[in-house]
Amino acid sequence: MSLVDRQEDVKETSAPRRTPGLAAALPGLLILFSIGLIVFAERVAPGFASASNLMQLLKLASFLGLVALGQTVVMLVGGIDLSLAWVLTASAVLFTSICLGQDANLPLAAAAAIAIGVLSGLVNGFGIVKLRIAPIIMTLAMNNVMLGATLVYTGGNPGGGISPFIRAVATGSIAGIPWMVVLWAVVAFCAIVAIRYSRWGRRLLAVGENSRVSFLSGINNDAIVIGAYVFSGIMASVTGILFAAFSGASFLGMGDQFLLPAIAAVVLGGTSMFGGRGGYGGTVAAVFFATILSTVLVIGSISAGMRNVIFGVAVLAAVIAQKLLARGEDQSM
Amino acid sequence: MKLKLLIRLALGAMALLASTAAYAEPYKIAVSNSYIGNEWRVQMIKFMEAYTAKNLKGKVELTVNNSGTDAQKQIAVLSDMISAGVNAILVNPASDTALDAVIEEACKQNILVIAFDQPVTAPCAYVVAVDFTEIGRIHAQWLADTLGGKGNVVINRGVSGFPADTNMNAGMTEVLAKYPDIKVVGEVYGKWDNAVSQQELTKVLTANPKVDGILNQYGTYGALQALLNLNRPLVAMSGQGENGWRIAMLDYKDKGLQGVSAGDPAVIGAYALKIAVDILDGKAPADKHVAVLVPTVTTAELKPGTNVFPDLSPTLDADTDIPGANLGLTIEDGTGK
Amino acid sequence: MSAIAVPRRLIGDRWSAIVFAVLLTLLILLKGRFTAFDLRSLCVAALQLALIALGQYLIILTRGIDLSLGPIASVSGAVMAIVIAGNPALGLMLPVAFGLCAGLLNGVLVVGIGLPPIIVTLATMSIWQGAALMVLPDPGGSVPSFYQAFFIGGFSSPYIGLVSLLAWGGIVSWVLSTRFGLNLRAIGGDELAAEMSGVRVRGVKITAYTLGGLLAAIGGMYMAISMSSGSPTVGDGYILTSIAAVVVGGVPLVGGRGSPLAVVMGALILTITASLLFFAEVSSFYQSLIDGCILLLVAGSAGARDFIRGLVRK
Repeated sequence: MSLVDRQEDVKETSAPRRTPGLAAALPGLLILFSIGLIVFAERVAPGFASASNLMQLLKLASFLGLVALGQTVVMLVGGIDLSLAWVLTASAVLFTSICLGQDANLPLAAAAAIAIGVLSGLVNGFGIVKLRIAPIIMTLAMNNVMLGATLVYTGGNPGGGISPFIRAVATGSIAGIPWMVVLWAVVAFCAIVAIRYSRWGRRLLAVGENSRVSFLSGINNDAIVIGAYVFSGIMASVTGILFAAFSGASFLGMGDQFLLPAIAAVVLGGTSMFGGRGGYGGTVAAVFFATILSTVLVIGSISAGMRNVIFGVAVLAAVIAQKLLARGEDQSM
Repeated sequence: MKLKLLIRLALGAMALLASTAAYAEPYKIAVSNSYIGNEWRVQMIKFMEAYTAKNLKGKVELTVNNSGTDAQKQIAVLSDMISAGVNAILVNPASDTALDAVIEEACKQNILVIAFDQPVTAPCAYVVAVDFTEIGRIHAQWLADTLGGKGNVVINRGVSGFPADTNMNAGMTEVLAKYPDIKVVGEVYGKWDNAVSQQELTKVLTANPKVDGILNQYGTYGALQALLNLNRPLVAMSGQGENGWRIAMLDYKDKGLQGVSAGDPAVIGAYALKIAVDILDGKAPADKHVAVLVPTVTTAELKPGTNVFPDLSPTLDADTDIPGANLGLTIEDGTGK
Repeated sequence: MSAIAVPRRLIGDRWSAIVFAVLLTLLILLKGRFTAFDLRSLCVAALQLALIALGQYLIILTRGIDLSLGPIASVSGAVMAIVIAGNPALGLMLPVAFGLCAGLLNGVLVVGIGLPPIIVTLATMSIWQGAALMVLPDPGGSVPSFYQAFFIGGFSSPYIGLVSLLAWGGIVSWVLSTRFGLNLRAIGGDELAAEMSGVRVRGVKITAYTLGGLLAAIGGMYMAISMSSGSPTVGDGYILTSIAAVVVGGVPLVGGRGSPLAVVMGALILTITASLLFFAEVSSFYQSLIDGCILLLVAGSAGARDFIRGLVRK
């Protein structure tokens, strides 16, 4: 609900609970779509569906997946984080400039980069909760502030370097499985479990669903919401570090490409923009789907305009299919 | 007595006039840049500021505004510049046609307008820009020659909907069309960004096991990272004047990497500034379209410290001059360090 | 409850006007003057944002959101720029018809099928971005200068821009004062209650999306007119800015509230900040930093006022 003024939450009526079977079916459907796309791509470009290729694509997807985790948590409490693009970039830039290619500098560099995420998340959360600035504005402005701060800090010329260890994490693999994929799988497992079963996860959903009720039941709404933005900031920073390591350097604007795909993945994964329902499992499936879809569009040598159209139609198709699956269940949105 | 006084006064007045002529009001020059969030644009601005500090001290007052990718906002900013009564407006336009009306209005109020980096269609404006089609031709011709006229090629384009992308691509496809044995097996949009180029090329490379060459509008460093990450052979590539690409051309020379670096130089803004001052001084060039030669470098022509800087950021544009412009700038002017 | 809510709403509406007045005063102080030329460029630049933001506002009244309005404007401007030189009537009608259809499509998907607005409009955003590139791969086409003189006025005639801005704000205010508008506000306030009191909720909501598409398309036409040409990407900058303008105008995203004139003020505020940055001679690297801070200051000012008031009372 609170893309919005927090005070207004009172009126939100609580929607009937989604049955667990259906909730599990939505990500399943996206995975099914993805498999269909892979089969299709293998027909067009034989050899595409090899294990090593798919691992490479999963590695690409892992970065979007990590950013989208932060966005998922924010959207669970009914917010949105548009600042992740330049929080990611700022963190990456600060990281490389402190790390200077030395493993010895790694802890300090990582701590400084993550501090950016924490700080921006705190400011976002404070503005949204205490000053009642709409999340969309607060985080949009924070994005501009981060852009400006990065330009001022670097003079527009990011430097430094990636240390061997983090480079190995972001690009290396073990037994044919990229470390990034292992990392993402572990993070995803923890996140899915935490959101569904931990006290924190239940509180996130409760605040997002109906902040008045959650407040009356003794939850500190403000802390939960601020915490969600801090978490999102941290995820953007961590992704920034890993993505810089993957790219071999930090670049201005390297986070921009994640902004809309992250939102799309979260919503396509079944998390409501008005909070209170969803989880990370759906987001993971949606990230996977989006990566495969954009790859298939690239190999089909289709014009840029047509790619956009197909992407939009595919998203609509997926969401309509989800809706048909969930038919019979009350969807207030 | 009175006569003497009069002469003195007259002399004094003449001296005063002469001195004001020598210390004339500095030219007010306003720069309207569109997007600022990438390294090339930042370096372009830094070069302009450094050129003013070095060569035009006291002669030019420079103000810079960044209005973003939105042409509407740039129209508003240009109106502000007209209203501020500047002598000249240098504009890196967000669109080649959108600004025409406001540029015509500036010309009407006797303000010199120079569009640089990208052209505009307003006839009263000077244009200082490289021919993007020519960049495309240089890249494709070099690749065709290197591949001996046959092979599978991937094209890494920019942002669709922008003339620079269309024109570079037109130059590339025009040349490739002459080589029937060269097949374009993939086309991606790297958005003139290293990180996006790396991701998009990874996708297209996974689908194409045999690629012999990559034409990059920009983002060549990212393209190279994609090859390295996938453990693919380092195929022949073209790129712009990106320092990271030139460093790679040197570093991977022994591993068989062949490359060419030719592109739109970030010093083009400083060059436009030089031309603006010339025009304000009464030395206008004969043609309103000032041709800018494309700095082109192959691996053999790379000289560390001159046109490639191994110790500096890979994201810098490594050209510090334009053939024939003699700007007297160094790479440090572009980094501000 | 309502006794407190009413004065706050009045201030809420005026707050954006007060903020705008402060910013305008600041600009005039910085510049030393404010000419007809300045008035014209401010109004014309704000006009296009205002139209798209007004469309967004109608949709936000239903507690929805629309990310496709910017690209709808791109397509409409592109179509206009291609067609109008050859066939003026078609050049004016086609974009309008397109805007209605595109808005209707959003409405049917959101209301008819019951899909979340953000995901529907994210998808249609991508579709219209693609369509704009297919209609007009590069900026081009042409809109004869006659239209510029007629619809937004030449550079020396400031009033057409100002009048258009106020007129569009007025037209939307009038729409909201009709039966449809009252129903729309009622739905945004409390959908269930509105439905129980006999409002045809679905019809009203679909109409809101359709009108939103129409206003965005008209915004796109104004863009094509002021640029004398079309551009396939010009609307992308308005995807988020149109929402920002609504919020800066003091309208909460929960629906049912705010006024069209406040939205117009929001558009003026966002437009004038660019001029402020120029005349304050802010160093180019600090511009986005300060731009972000101004946005925060404007959006946070009302909240900060309440926050401080709350502290004082304690």
